[in-house]
Amino acid sequence: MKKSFVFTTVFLAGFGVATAQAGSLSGTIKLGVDAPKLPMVKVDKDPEVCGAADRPSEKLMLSKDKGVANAVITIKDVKGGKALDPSKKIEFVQQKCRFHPHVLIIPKGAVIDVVNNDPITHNIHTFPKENPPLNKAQPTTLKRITSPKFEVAETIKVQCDIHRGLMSAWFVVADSPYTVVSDASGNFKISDVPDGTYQVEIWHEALGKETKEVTIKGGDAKLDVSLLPKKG
Amino acid sequence: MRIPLIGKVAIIWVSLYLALKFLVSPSLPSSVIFMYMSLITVCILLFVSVFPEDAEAFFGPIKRFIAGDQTDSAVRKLGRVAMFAIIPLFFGHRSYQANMPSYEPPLEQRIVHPAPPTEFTGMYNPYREDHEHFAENVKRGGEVFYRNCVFCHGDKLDGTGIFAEGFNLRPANFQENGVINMLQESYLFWRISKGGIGLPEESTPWNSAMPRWEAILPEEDRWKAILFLYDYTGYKPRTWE
Amino acid sequence: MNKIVMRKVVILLFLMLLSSNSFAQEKSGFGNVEAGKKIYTKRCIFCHGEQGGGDGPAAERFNPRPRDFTMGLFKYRTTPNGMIPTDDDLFKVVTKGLPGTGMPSWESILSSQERRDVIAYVKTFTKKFERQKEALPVIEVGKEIASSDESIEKGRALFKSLECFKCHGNEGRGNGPSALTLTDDKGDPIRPRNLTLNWHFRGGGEAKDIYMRVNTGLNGTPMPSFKDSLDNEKSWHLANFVRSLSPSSRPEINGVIKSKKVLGNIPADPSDPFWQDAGAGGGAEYWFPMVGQVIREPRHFTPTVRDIFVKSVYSDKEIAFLLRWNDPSESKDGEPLPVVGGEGDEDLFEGATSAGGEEKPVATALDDAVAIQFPSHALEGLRKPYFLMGDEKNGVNLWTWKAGRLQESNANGIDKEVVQGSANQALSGGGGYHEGQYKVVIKRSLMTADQEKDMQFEAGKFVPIAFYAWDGHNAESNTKRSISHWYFLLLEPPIPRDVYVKPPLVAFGVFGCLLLLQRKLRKNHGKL
Repeated sequence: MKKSFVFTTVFLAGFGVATAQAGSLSGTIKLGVDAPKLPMVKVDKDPEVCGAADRPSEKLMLSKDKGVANAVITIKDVKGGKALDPSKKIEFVQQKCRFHPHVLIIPKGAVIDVVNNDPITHNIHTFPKENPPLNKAQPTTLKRITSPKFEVAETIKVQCDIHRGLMSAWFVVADSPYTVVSDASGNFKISDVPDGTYQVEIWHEALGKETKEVTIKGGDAKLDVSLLPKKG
Repeated sequence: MRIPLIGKVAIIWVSLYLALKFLVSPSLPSSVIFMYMSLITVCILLFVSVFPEDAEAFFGPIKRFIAGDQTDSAVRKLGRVAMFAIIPLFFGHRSYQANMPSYEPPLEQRIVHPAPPTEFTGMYNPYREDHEHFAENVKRGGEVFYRNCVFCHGDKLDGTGIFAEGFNLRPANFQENGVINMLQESYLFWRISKGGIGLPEESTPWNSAMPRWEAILPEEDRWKAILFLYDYTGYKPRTWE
Repeated sequence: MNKIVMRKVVILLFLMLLSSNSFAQEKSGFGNVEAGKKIYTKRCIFCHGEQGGGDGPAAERFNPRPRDFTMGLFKYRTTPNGMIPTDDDLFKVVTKGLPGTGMPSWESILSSQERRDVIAYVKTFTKKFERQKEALPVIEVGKEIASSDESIEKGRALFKSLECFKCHGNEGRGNGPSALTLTDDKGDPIRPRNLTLNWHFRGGGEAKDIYMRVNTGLNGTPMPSFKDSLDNEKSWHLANFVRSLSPSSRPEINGVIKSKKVLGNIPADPSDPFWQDAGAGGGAEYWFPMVGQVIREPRHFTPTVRDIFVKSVYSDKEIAFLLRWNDPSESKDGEPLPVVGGEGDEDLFEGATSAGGEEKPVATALDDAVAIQFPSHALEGLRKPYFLMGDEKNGVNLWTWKAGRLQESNANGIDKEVVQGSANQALSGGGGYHEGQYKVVIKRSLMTADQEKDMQFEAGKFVPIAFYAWDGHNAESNTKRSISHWYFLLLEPPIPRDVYVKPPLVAFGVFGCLLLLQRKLRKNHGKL
């Protein structure tokens, strides 16, 4: 009995230490105004690969209850906590004239593998400001290209010029390991965040940037954000 | 070894032909060469006919060659056949050339720098003496040039703009010595303001692509553009002597 | 022993120092920034802008626009894709210029030191040059594989398998399915190069230049690098194939179009074998440069059509012209334009906030067109009507083909064009668009009733002739067009019979004379 008490105390104490040091942040990104009529993209090239039907634009993807997909949530200036891991293998895939994922988080210093799963040529064309730009043809005979290292944190537009309009994506070169992308419902979760008060930046390609303050004190902190259309 | 007269004559004739053909610069048209060579041939014939010995030395071998002989070598025989073929063909060819019609487009001559009308003589560039704003005015002139004139007169003002090739009267080259340094600013102002269509008939106004800039640019800009032309090329405008 | 080695090492080191020093002198990177700034301010700012942003006062009137140096993206390099150019690359561009663009060859005005100085200054507009610490890797053009049918065929296969045609078109005329949606990295529309007119290639039109381009790509444009898919051999095959799409040498202006007389009917269809047959309409084709109409407002600085190819023949009754020109798109009035950039950048929320939620009108194209210009009637002496659509006194006669419709008109100035009455419309013809190229036949009878308005054609007379073209996709209509200058048309008279009769007679006569002479000489044999 006594033994088990001690054990429990120790266990609780241990738990208490853990909760005092780290928590997580989760929430939903939503559109703060009425959903606009989302534009459709006409598939006018290579319909046998890209699909014949018009497809919704990836510029703004909303769930039924206005959850915003592909928003990037970053907790800034976290002291301590986990380290950035640029060694993980990252694949960026072209399939059916679409980039997967639409928003790719790349830890600073990492390289990525660009994979073409389509039976046609694509070109991977990036528009960085700081990192070296890339524009390489990837014909069917060249399944995989390894990119140069992404050394500077920035957001980079990516497109295939051959399938302009159909294929665009974003690389987010992150210097914070606490950077995630919202899912199709607009939900996100960032775990293992040391306790503290932080600035959280939310960025979306069509809705712009927003910054919120959160305090994490063990457990799961909630952050629901309503994004408004960019002005001007 | 003595060269026979006929050989000498042949050497002289051929060397005169070669001299006319290759040494004269600019090269003579073939019709002129033909005329000179006919004259030379006549002179030579006269020269060799003056004395009977010369005539025999010259014409004898020719006569014997044409007449031929049983004892002639095969080479001489072949030469004779060739002569009977080549001489008629030569005259036939000349006749063909003479009868074949050739068409040359009309030559267009024009006066490049006609006299300007009186209202454009003796004008002064109102910005030439504005030393205080000179750099500013030149810069404005440059803007005018690169937004309007550059397409024909070129980025270096040398008449090789991207559209220059499309025009039959090639755009003026302001870098060339003897163009704007030999002209007064008032002359340039006239040409710029009135354009190609404002040229007198003898300067073929229908061929000039120079726009009538008074319809496009304010007077101020035209004067400043002139300022720029001189500043960029380093030339001085011609002034009243 | 040791001393000798030491001495050798010292000498060697000294020599190395010397040679590296002289090598350094050759390199353009050793220009003087301050001196370069002065040159830049005088010669370059009007296009490239004071801050190097490619936004000088002239920038908007050029296509392609002047380079924005602040982006650090340079097209013509020998370095791998995405990298900055070497000093030698920049030196070459400044020295030789980029044909067909506003960038001239500066070697006639700037000394090589001045060119190095200005390059040193240009390099300060972006941090990329300063950041580049290691030596830049350079793509070398490997051992040449001379062009041959075999090499060209292999290149053709690569053109297909690498899918170059997606932008450059099946026949290389820059009309691929993706061509019209492309933009450069600044977002300005950009067209893939028409590969059949290599004199317009900015970075050089020979196989070695093409080799370099396919390997390096063009930074800042949709043209990617194919280096990962090409080795030296394949690069040459592809380059040889692309080179083979253009004529072996740049065409030259021949100021007189000779129209050849043919027998019988002239077919209105340009694909008729008649137009290939050397004995009929397959004769000489004439090339003329076309330029923007920059003379009368509204002017046009960035025309699409820069070349026109012309053939002409005539018969007893009519005269015909076969016109050939390149245009990356077939456009007709009112047809929607493909959206440049694919998706368009319109605000997603604009519709939601505007009251009626009306849809934006779709941008539409205008008609593609071509026209031939003659004087309305022959003029005395050397007089011609003003080359651009005639003048008050002397009008021009225009034969226009506009998206399939033919029309005769007269003009006394670019703003004074009058279409002839339907009774006087006498043109016929045909043809159309195929793979980035128009081929159109326009015909009319040699003589018409209206001698004041219609040019009359007589064999042996020189008739002034000029051309216009409009690309409806490039918003060209009316004064916004490509123009040419006056050239001449000559209906070559049939060769007179004398040409075939007199020379044989003369030759025969001379032969007879020679024979007579020989006979006479033989008779007088004793005297010889």
